[in-house]
Amino acid sequence: MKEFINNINWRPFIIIFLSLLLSLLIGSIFMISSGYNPLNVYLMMFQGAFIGKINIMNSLKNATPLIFTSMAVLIAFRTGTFNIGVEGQLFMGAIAAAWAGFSLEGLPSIIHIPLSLLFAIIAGALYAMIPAILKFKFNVNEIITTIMLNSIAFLFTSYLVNYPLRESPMAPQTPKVFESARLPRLTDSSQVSVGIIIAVIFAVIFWFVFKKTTFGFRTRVVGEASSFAEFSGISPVRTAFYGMLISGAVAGLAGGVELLGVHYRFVELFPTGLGFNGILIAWLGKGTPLGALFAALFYGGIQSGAMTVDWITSIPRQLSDTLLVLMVFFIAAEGMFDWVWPLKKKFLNKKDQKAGVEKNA
Amino acid sequence: MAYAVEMLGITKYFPGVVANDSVDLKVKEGEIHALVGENGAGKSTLMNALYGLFQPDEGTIKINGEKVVMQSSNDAIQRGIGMVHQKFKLIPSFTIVENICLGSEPRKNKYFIDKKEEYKSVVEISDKYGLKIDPSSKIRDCAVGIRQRVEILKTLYRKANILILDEPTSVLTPQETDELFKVIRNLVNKGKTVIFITHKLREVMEISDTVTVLRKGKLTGFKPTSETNENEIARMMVGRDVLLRVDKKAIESEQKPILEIEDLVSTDNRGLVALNQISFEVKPGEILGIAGVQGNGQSELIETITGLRKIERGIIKIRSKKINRFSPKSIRETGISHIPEDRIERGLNLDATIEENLIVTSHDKKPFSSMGIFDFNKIEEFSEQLINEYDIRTSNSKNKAESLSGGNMQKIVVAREIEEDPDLLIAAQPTRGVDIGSIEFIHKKIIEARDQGKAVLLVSTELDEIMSLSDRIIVMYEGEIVKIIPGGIADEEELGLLMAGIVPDTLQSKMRREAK
Repeated sequence: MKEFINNINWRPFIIIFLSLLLSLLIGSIFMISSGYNPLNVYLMMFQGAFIGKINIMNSLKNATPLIFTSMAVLIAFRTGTFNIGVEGQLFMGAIAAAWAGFSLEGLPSIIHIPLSLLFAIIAGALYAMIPAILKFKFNVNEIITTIMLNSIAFLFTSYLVNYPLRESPMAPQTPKVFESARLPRLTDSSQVSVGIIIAVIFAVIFWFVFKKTTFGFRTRVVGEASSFAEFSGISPVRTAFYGMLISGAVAGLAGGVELLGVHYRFVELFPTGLGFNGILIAWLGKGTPLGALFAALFYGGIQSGAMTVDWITSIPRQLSDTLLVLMVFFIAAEGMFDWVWPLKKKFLNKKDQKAGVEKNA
Repeated sequence: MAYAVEMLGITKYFPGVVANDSVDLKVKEGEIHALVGENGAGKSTLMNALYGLFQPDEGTIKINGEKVVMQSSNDAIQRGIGMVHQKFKLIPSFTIVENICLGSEPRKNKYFIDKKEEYKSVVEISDKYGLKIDPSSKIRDCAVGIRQRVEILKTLYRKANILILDEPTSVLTPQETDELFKVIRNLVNKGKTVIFITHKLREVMEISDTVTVLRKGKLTGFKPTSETNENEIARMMVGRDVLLRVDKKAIESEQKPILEIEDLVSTDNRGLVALNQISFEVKPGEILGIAGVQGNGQSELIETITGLRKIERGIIKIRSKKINRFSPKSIRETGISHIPEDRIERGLNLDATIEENLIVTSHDKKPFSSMGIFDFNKIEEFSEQLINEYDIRTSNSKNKAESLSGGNMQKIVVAREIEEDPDLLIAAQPTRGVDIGSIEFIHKKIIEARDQGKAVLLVSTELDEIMSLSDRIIVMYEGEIVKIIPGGIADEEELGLLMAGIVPDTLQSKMRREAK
């Protein structure tokens, strides 16, 4: 057991912990300047996130799309491609699921739900294929194209709900999806659906693929050492292309689950930021699927806690975004924690080191 | 005579290793002092301590008899120590003068660089020490030998009296090495002291006055060069007797060739012709050596054969089967394996574990995986076996490749490529930057492959290696084959001339070429 603990690489945990601490510290500066006791606010936030059934359920609801989008970011990133277009692919997935949900009538749930989700997946994947082809066929930078394609997706879906798919002259929104296409909710009192279960399963699948499969291995080799991959007979272009398609597919699924589980219809003001936050969550999770899963659950909680704070105090709920951004900032700047590591060494005196050397030799 | 550098009882710990274990280094003023040892013997650690990059845990350093503690390389430079690193630290788009003066330019009115003064002082130094350069040409247009001269000038510009040269010959041709040695002798004549890090014994004998040998962080030899010989130094380095020449049986091969190349044309990264109608063949049980100064088309030739570079014209055949448009993967599957010249970029993924590096070329085949899922037990078993067989020095097969020394990294590549059991083994610079013990081992493995009837294509800029291993030698110059000679009768001088594009029976071939 002692050996097991020694073998754990504590570094990422320490970095995340210190980043959280620093973020809370900076957050408290704003609270003190608006006349609140930060300890009270953070306690309120914690309760709003993780205490009580409704709060927990809300946290899970917030986390669901983020789990998907962070996985989408991860797979592309692993092959060395930056999919900034998760946001747009999510919108395309959502509107495709909405269309399948309200226009295919008379199907049983067991067919209608998977079919609608499949529409979302295909829409996301096809939309990701545009930057993928541009990058791998014509060497166009994917960061630029995906950012531009995000805007196109926003405007395109907005056009669809304003004209061809508009339900009534009253509001720019699609009709509600049929009952048969809605994801079952876990409780009556909150919007959390079986989507969270699908999301967790997906995170575990991603973990398995990254850890145990040849495909996962190839994505890593391509991302870490592209010319080595080529030399070894692994095609960097093909692997990264598939990575991008899967990324788009998962982003589309995120949109589908969000629509069929929470909103039931595509409205012009469909929530934005799920894709972008997915990028941050992937960072927060140190680039691993399980890390991202916990980061998403954690952030879902912070969001729900910030909601509570918003209701009770005059601190806006954007507090959660502020904390997230600060944390990611500190984690990205992990070099600033380098002063921590020598502290550990001070505990080991030289004699121990010498003994260790003799044992190794 | 006084000592320029005295390092006494230097000890340096790194996590889990003693990199230097009370090592002494005494360098007399005005001598050429060779510091030799295998990779990982602690040469770099010792020199980095002298250059102020870190402080030793124990021991004292004296410069010109004065005890010093150096906090940074700036302190070392202040005390007249200059270091020429193995990897040059130059800016390609700057001129030679700009590179030399970078960071300590002469000023005019405090805020402006005095270009004239800059130029003048560089020319002055280059004349004084006989380091010929064209001061206003850009680094990117300079040959490797010139770049090295610029590095030396950089230290002289900063008034270095003690120069540390870290494996300076590893990137040079024989001719350039001769030039460098002239420069070094010149420097010493002008009163400088030179510490010369190397693991090439011939160079130690040729250039140095005194030699210090390290093995596994400990001092194992300190002698005037005139009182020792290559075999003794090799023994002090490796700790046992080393075969400096390669033993191999002669063989006769009348079989059909494994690799056939006909009129191959291909271009380099800039789109210029790199291979100009090359034709040759390699038979089973034969080592075909390709000699040449680096950058004469050898890299492009190998990349073209292995599918990493596009073929412009010509035919490549393996066992009479055309493989022109095959992917790197299918070319591997036809039975070619490849030890690449750049093990860091191409040959390994340093972020991955030793195991992963060993199985990467066959990771999608049984027994390592089935249905796309890895069998980690089989992988570990296989890796342990190769680590044993190839004597890869590591505590655990799950360590990252980057934790190994250069020689052990190269052994991973060699192990993986030979275990593929290829029909044709392409070995490019298989022993570059590798210590003597590993060189001996890698040579043995290459000969073993040949004796098993595999065809071997060996590319090397080391003439010794080419001459001792090859059954036939091709000399390449500017993308063309200058000459094909049987391995047994080649002599170094002739090869050197051929590598420079000078063909002894010049007239004939010149006429032939002009007729084309």
